[in-house]
Parts: sequence; structure tokens; C-alpha cells
Amino acid sequence: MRIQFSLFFISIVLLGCSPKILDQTDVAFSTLEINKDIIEDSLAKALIQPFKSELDEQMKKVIGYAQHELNNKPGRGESTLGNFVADLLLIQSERKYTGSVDIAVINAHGGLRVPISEGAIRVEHIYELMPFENAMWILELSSEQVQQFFDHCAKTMRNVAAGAEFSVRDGKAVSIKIQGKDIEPNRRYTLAISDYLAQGGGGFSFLKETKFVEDLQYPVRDMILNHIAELHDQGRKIEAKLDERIKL
Amino acid sequence: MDRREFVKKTIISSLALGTSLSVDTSFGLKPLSKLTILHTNDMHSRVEPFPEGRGRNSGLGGMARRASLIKQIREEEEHVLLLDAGDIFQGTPYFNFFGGEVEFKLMSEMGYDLATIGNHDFDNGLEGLKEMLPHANFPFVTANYDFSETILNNHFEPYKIFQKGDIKIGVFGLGIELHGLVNDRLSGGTKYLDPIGIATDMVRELEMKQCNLIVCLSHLGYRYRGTKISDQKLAENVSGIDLIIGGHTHTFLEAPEQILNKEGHETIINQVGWAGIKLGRIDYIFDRKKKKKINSSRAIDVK
Repeated sequence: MRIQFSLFFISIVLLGCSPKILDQTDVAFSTLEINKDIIEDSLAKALIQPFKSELDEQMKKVIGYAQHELNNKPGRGESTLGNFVADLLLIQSERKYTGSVDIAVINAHGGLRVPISEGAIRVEHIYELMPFENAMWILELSSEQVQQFFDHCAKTMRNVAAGAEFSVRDGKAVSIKIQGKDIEPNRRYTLAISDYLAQGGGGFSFLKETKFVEDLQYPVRDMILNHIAELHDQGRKIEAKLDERIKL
Repeated sequence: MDRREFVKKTIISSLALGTSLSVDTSFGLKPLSKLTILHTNDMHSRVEPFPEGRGRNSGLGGMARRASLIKQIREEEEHVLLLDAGDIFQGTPYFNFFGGEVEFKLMSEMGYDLATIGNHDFDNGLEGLKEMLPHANFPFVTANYDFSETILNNHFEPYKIFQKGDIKIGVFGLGIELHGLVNDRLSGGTKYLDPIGIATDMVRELEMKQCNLIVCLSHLGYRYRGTKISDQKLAENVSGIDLIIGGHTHTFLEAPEQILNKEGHETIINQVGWAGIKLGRIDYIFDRKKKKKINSSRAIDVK
């Protein structure tokens, strides 16, 4: 802590108070930590209480069930959690977007923060899984940019895509299939991706060169919540398997 | 440790000042004017403390605790100004579910005098912010966002002047460039104006109105590599701002930074991290001597 001790008292005695203008003569700083030693103010606590109750109730709501644990193992490349989220982002993005979506991607390793446990899934779990406020965008990529995109995925092994599969050779993506087909040189491809990655996050800086098509105005977290709820309405539990969409 | 003891322990600096004050009055001179500025930034909807056992912030923060600490200080100090440097919104489900109502109501309860607008305060769009404003009994200042062609026209002032005892304080607000940070659909039609030009105008205006202290509530960010405007660059380029209370970069400054610019003006910059983990406190003493200003003081580090 930095404290100012001053001689201003002496100067006051010497100068008296003849001039009329007030001036700053001393300044002291402190930074106060808000911790458990401070007893909560009862009025503020009472103000929070009804909101907290409602929030707790909302957050505890069960929105669906998991057949088994979905997690990020083995820590790179595809994962049950990554595959599940990438697939639902493709379905939900395509539903929201007016055109067709070829590929959806999620930065599974880094972006999906906790596993989904077997059994009941509550709203709060999805907030923990996806604490970020990212929304989905649609970008349009040339065939060269698609190659560049999957090369980056092969290099970092942090992202999982839906609608596409590829093999990794010497840190590059080969044998890329989009919707089951080889990349066509003159075709353009639509990619559903979070605004964070689309704007260069996660090392995707080259995506800034691609064509922006649409901001779906649909948060990633809401897509996950809604998808699980839809499956639950159909009497289905969530599940995912490793399907070799990324071959090492 | 009980709360009183805690407050005493953490506010040693103000006690030092308090002692001087009592000595002064004992000599029969007119008491000096003292102003206590309390400030937060980037509280990010952290209504409740961080949960225990989760990293370095666990168990810290909490708006009901902050309210208690502020009340305590108000009991001890006559002239308190409570300010926030923006990004009140976003970060916990309180914002997702209630849109900022809880944050604004609690800040009103704590007696915030003024806040500025951070980039995340646009997260529910201009409509979302407008809808929440009735829950705030305090005003917002922003001098470099032009809302004139939006639904928020006439909802904010560039600056506000407070009279605390004999002290007149002018506070103006500055916000960060929105392009690339806030989706256009959310900030729709808000124009960002050059902070340096605007700050120069603000200082001139507040000096004309004979403010004893000129404060900038800034959401520009403490400092950046490169040329991006920051609180440091603001202090270097605009003379006349006494204090910049900053935000955006979530910087926990151990002590406020004092910047002496090339024109010889000194500006103090402070920022207290984020999430309401800390409350900044700055105590000013004013007297009737003309000489500016903290030349007669020396800083001592006390651990």
C-alpha cells in the first residue's frame, strides 16, 4: 500500500488562509479488498434475495439427460464433447440461416470448459460448459481458405468441426471431405463459427480475410441449451461417439 | 477480524489524513475540506462473491459486502463521491436473466453518484441499456459517444459537476472505440469521437466552470502496445485532468500511477481490477492556498 505523508499541515500554518481559491494540497490512496471479513449489508442482501432465488431456480432446471459422460478426452482432436457441440451447432445454425451451412466448428479444447456428466443436465451446467457470450456467424470461404482453415485445425488440434472430416499428415490437413465430398476448387463453402473465432480468435487471424455473410445473433450457449431441450422433448438423451472425423 | 477493525486496517492512509485534520482544527484555523472518492470498474455483473475454492479470486467480491464497506466509509467521511468506470454488465447469469436490473438497483442502493459506459454495457443493445436506465437513480456521463441519432439521445450528459462542501468537482466520461469490440447491431448508430480532442474541450469547459478537481471516468483502458489511445496516452496528451479513473483492461494497479506530461501537468491514473474485488479510495485535502498542489507531499511505501 502506498501512502502519502505530507508537510501540508506546516504549510497551512505558514501561509494562513488568505487566498480565496481552494487547491488540492494532499492526496492519499488505498485499495480496499472486498472479502469475507466484511459483513454483508442487510438491505443490499435483501435486495438481491428474490433475484437470487429466481436465478437459483432457473439454473437448477433440468433441461435434458446425458446417456453417458461427454468430455474432451483425449485433450486434442475430436472428443465426444467436441463432436456433440460441433454437430448441434451445424444443425442449429442451418435452421437459423436462410441458406445451407457446410461446416460448423467449435474450439472444443479451450472453449468447452467442463464435461457434461451422465444423467440430468441442468441449465447451470451449460453455463459452466460455455461461460462465454459468443454468438454464431456465417462466413463464406473459398476452397483455398477451406484448406487453410483445416490446416490450422490440424496444426492446433483444438477445434472440432461438423460436416467435415480430414486426416492429419505432417501437421497439415489431407483427404478433406466436406459433406462427404472432396473440396471442389471453384466452389465456395459456408462456415458457421463463433464471432470470437471469426474475428481472429484462437489463431484464426486469416478468417478476417474471408467473406462475412451473416451474424445469426444466436449465442452458442443458447444453441446448446435449446438443442438439449429439443432432444429431451423428443424423449431422447444426448450422446456422442468418436467417429474418426479427424484421423491422426 | 470484525468489520470495523478491517476497515481501520485497510484505510490507514485516511487515518493519517484524519489526524492532520484534527491537529489543524485544534489551532483554531478554518477546517480544511476533505473529499473521499470511492471507485470501481468492470464489475461485470458480479453480484455475489466468486464461489469458494475456484482459483485466485475465490470468495472475493460481492455487492452486499461492498455496500457495507461504503456505508462504513460514509459514516466516517462527510464528502464522499462514488464513481464507476463502466462494464457494469455481463459476466454472470444475473445479467443473462435480468439484463442489469440487479446491478443498477444495488448501485442505486449504494449511492453511486455517477458512472460511464463500457463496451459490455452495449451487450443487450441500446434497447437493453435504455430499458435498464429507470433502475439506476444515478446518471451516466459520456463525452465521446454521440448518441444523438439513436434511441438514447438525451439520456446521457458529457460531464457532471458536484459540489461537496467547498469543493467543486467536474467529472466527464470517455468510452472506448466500439468498432471491432461491439457488434454494430448492438451499438447501432452510436458515433465514437476522438477522446483526446473531446477531453481537451472538457477540461477547458470544466476549468471555465471553476472546478477545483477535474476527473475523467474512462473506459479506454490503462495502456496498450502500439498507438491505441489509453489512459496513459490521455494523461500524456491532455493537460488539466487531475484524476483518471480507468477501466476496461481489468488492471489491478498496486498504487495509482502519477504521470507528469511534457507540459508539466500531473495526472493520477487509478484502476482497481474487475468484478468488484476491490474498492479504490482516494482522499483529497483542499485548502485555501493557491499553490498547486501535491508538491509538498512525499510518498512513502508502507507494506
